[in-house]
Amino acid sequence: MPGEAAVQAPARCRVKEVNENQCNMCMPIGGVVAFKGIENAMVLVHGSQGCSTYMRLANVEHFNEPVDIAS
Amino acid sequence: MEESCTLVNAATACIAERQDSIQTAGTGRTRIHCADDSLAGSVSQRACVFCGARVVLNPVTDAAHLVHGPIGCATYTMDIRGSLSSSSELFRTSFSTDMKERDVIFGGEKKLAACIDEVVEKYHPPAVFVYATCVSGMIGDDIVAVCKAASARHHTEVIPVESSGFISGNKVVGYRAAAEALLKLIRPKDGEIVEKTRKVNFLGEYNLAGEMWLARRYLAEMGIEINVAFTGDSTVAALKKAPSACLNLVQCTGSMHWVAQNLERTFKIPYMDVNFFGPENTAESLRRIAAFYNDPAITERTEALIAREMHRIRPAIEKYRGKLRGKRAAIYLGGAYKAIAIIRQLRGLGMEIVLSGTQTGNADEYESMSRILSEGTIIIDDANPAELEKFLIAKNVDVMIGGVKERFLAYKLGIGFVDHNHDRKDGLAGFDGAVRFAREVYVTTCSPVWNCLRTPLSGGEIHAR
Repeated sequence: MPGEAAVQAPARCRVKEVNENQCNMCMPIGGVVAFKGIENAMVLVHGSQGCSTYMRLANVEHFNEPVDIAS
Repeated sequence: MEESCTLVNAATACIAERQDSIQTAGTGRTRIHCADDSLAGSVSQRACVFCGARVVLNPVTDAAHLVHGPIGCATYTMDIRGSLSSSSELFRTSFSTDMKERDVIFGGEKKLAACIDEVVEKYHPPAVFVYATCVSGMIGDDIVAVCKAASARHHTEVIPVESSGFISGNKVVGYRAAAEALLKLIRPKDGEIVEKTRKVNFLGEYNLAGEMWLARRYLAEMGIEINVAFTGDSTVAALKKAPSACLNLVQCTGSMHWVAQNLERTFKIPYMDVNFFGPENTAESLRRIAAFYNDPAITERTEALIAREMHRIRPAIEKYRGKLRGKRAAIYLGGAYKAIAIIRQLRGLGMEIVLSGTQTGNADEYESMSRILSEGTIIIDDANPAELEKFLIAKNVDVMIGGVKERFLAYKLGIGFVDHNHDRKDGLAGFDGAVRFAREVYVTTCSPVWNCLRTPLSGGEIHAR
């Protein structure tokens, strides 16, 4: 209800900027997961090494399979 | 590629350019190629600079850790350590500025300043660490200036950590960034004098599964008090008292040597390398700490402690040693110092080490590692999964000690696995930890499940790819 929201909003009515305990991941992992499904496909992330390592880690922990993603 | 290699299991890389990073102990006279950026496209097991900074600073319990970058950087490093806290749990809350396209184009400084304001207003942390990531570094956000302004505005410590990932592909660079932030935090204000005490600082101990508390118990029994651990279960106030210690104990050398050297230079605190992995290493470390104090009462208590604990754990260790004798182990860990400690610990269990590697070891560490390893052992720097797989099969390994990413690689090859990474939840340090480690190695190595797996199934080899 609009009225309720106005009451609950902080005094300064500022948009909350900081993201606390996020539950979303970043965009590239979506692409990585999609292309990993293609047999014998190799995904190469064009970015810092950490990006590919984290996505590997997330995939490994999720699928319980060794996953390779190049950087 | 070397053609003069006559060994049957001569170690060759899957990618020719990586040949220099692989060595066979006893034969290779050349120095191993290490402590360099990873080869592009080689699927390194390493993480990034930001991750290095994050793992070092994250256990500071009552500080807020704000990641200035896209959401992914914060997501993947959210609560990544098994560090325990005795008071505040604020460090486990993940804060991110969640940069979007708009911030990348127009600059993220304003958003960062607003985020710092929000965090400080809501939680009133004694310190805020602001981490730079690839993106914020790339677009040239001046986080140092933003932090300085915020610090003045809120009268609290807002410390920038310059850990942009593109600086290097090596975590060690991130350790350095974190170390610089820590030194900035503990530097006394002008005119402030920190009184010296007889306490010790414990550097490079992250209180994984309460290991710091265990070490504190040992030291307390010896009559020595821990001033503060860097950074396991530490608070900002405790870290600021770091200069008052009379000795720095360094466990994780990769991340903390530089801090120790700096503390020695600035505050004249000597440092000493110790480690509490395995009964022999623990006993030796405790003796060396006692020797530093040069106090007969402390030495006496230390010897009593070692004798009692050794006597207590001997039956358990003996039992596992009998079961594990002659088994072949592979080690692939982050830091070389821990790898060396584990080599010693596995030897103590009667096992043979056939493969040893690290992500971030330097030349000297590899030198000493190669000295203690027997001939024919493969030493590898910054391995990729293809190489690990190849050598695990070639060397007929029974158990692997490594991190999460290697776990399923090992399992799929029918090899036991023990997690000895920084996110484990099981304490493996000290005398009790040694028993727990031995038990873990035993249950995974001698698990009956491998017998089922090693019987070839109809339709081909077990290791068929």
